[in-house]
Amino acid sequence: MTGAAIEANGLGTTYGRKRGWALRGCSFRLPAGRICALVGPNGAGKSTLLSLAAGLLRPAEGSVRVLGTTPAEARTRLAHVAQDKPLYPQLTVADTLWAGAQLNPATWDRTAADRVAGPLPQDAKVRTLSGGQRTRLALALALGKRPELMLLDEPMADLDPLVRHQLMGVLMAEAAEHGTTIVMSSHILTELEGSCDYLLFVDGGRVRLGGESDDIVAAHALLTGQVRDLAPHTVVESRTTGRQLTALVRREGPVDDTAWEVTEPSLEELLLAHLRSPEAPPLLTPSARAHEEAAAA
Amino acid sequence: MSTLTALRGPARVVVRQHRKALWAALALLLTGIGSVIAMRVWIAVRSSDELCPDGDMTPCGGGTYLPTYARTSTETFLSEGGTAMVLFAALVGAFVAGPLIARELDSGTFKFAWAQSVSPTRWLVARLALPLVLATAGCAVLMPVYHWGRAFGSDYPYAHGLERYAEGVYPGTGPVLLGYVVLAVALGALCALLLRRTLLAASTTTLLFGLVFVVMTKVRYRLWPPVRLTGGARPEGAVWHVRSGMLTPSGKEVGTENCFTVDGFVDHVACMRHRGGVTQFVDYHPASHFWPLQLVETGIVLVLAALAVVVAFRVLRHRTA
Repeated sequence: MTGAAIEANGLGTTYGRKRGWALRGCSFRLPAGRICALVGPNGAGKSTLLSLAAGLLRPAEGSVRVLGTTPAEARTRLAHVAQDKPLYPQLTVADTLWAGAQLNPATWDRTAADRVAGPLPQDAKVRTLSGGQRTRLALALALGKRPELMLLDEPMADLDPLVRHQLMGVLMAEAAEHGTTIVMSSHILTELEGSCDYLLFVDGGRVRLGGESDDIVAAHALLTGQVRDLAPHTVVESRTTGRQLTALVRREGPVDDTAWEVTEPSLEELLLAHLRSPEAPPLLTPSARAHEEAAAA
Repeated sequence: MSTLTALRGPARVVVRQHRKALWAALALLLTGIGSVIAMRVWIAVRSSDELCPDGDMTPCGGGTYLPTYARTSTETFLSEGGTAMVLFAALVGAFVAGPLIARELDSGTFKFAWAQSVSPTRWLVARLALPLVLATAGCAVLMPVYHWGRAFGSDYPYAHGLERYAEGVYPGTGPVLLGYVVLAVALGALCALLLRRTLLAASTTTLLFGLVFVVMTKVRYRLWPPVRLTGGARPEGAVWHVRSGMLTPSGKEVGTENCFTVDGFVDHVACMRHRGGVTQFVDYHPASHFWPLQLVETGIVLVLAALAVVVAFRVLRHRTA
């Protein structure tokens, strides 16, 4: 078994004393070398989770381990690009890349950074850049650091489809070449669906689905047929139209395909069904279970 | 050594981020030095009107000493030199609090810094060390220049405002200035981490720093026990007069507090004798108390600064991993 890129156990943190929990009882494991989509609705706790893993926040309860150690210890080996792409506005593009070299003396790779930052106007001040250009520069710094784990918060939100495709290609090449683990968050799944082989679905401060995308999809079935009992399967969502029942279920044993018309749901259908049914139990595939949980199971 | 090497990168980045502010600080420093030099040149140019080369204290062909305008205005200017340097320290503190730290926390650029291979602790250390080193170096240059500027004529009559115990001079003449620089930077860091808003942190730092400075100025004379002379003797030389009055036979101090009437003054000595005073006393700090007083004040200020720094790092560590 390969090591874990991220492992969270009962992780929780608050926004402040009054606003309650941003994340609570969060346990999962992300194996190293995966391209992981971190999806969930706005305010689900995606950014908080990434900030905790990057060591920008201290958990109020539980723990998170990154690359086998604490986030603080792993700082030189991980890159984090926050959602608002923070950069020093008064520095130029060239200065920012220079700062990247100064602040990551041990690992800085100029070529990797230039591969993404190349098309940017080198003498332009960061404050004059467009949203997309800022994203490009922020990603260039993350790549130049040559990390083992990249935590990218909404990396593609500001990019036009062409640039998105190009930068995704750079990221995938990086991952393929160096075995980098990449976590990308988004509230739009289709943005990431084609590139990611792992899925973490966060909603209401908890991880509700976690594991290989294929396994998660395979664990569910979309059933259509006459209204009747769906046991033993776990019903995520069901809809009746007249005597016709459409249900998205989590398979518990073989599905009787004489009684039902069985189709495989798309990942998007699966997530939407879970979003509409907050009471559906969480599902973590064995590789996504935190060690403490795995031992208990 | 390794920590120094590790600080080099973050410190260089801070310098590049704040190039303009550093140039402005240098300009301010040069303005200060330049004004002192200009004042001395001015006095030198006008000195022929003031003194005759015969070496006595009067102008040629005159019997009365009359300082030139150059001399009196220089004296006025330099008599607040120490205060000006403390203001410089306050400015450094406000800069550390506002643009250097709080603005990063406010605008989120700290996430950029901490996502590189620089821990939050080292990020803060670089933001404390750099202003400390630069401001201390600036003061180390300013203080001797100021000393040289004041030396234009301390042996001239009426130059009391320039004695080193004078309120506006004292903070600019010894280690106490460096203490205030350290305090300003430390308070800046603390306010920035607690308040996390640029303007709020800068103004609170200035306010707190000013409060400490005013209080220290008020209590300064108590920081070392003064010397007492009795029996009408007067202290010699450049001393710091603390208080004077009369003593009763039992040793109780009688001051002039109740000696003022509606009509104006009465004879102080007669008034105090009337209230039981038998012999006069003077409490003062002789020139030899200069260093103990400076060191005690520096010590107090440094302890306050150390507290602020400790709390600042605790706040930082409480928030981050």
